[in-house]
Amino acid sequence: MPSPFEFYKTTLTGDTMRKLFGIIAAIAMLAIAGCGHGAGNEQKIADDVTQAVYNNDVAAVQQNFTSDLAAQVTRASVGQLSDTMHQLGNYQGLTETGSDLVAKRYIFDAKFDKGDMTVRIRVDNNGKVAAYRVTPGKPQ
Amino acid sequence: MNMKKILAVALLLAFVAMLAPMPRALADGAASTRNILIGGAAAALLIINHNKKVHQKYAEDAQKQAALASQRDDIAAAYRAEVQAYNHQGNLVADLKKEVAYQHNIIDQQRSQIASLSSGRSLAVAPAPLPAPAGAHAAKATTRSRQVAFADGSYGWGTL
Repeated sequence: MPSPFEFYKTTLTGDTMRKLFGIIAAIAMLAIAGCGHGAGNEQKIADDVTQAVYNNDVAAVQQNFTSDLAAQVTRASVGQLSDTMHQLGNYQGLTETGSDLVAKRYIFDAKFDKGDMTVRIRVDNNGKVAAYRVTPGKPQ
Repeated sequence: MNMKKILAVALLLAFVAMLAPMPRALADGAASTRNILIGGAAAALLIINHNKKVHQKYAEDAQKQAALASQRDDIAAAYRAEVQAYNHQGNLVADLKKEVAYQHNIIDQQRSQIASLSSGRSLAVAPAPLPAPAGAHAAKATTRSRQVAFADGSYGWGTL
């Protein structure tokens, strides 16, 4: 019965060693990929809603909202918020700056030509937006 | 060293004088006694002077040692004072760090307020209701307009 060191020296060398490291690397990559799937989805939802508001597209805004929140959305309110955004120029996109994963709240920095706005969303268990708020200025 | 030699020679002479055989016929008791007394007195004077020098030397050494001890004590006291001053300086630095951190926070808060004001709204004051839509998109608004601004200065729908 070889000792662990002898086993390492005699058996885990060459091609066997490379295969072992390859398997470990693949497992590590899968684990990393599994951890990071959520944030990108919320960012896409926030970007879609913000783009829809900027475009004054009521239907597109309501598309990602829960039914309760969609009922609160009116053409006038979307138009008002769209006008506020247009005062800052063209919408360039947003980036996530903070999150509360337990409460499913996310904070984004929405960039425009002439400034920034802070976008805060809360999503429900189905991934639908349960609250959407925009504040002038960068996230603090 | 010279004093010791002189003393030794004097003593030797005194003993020699005492032990030297006196001529019988010419013996003069008074002169002999006088010579012995003179020799003894001279020896005693030499011993006294020697002792005086030795004691003077001891006194000087003791004085030097006392001065060195005093200097050493002064150095130790000065060192303790420096340590105490250093500790006080450390406490002062810690206090200054706290003050700088506090002022940094104040500056950050004021920057935030300035940024908010520059974007047209104050953090301290609840935003007024949005004015009547004037833009192209707002022109499409219907009469059943719904308030979209919140007291915290944000716009949108739902509760976070």
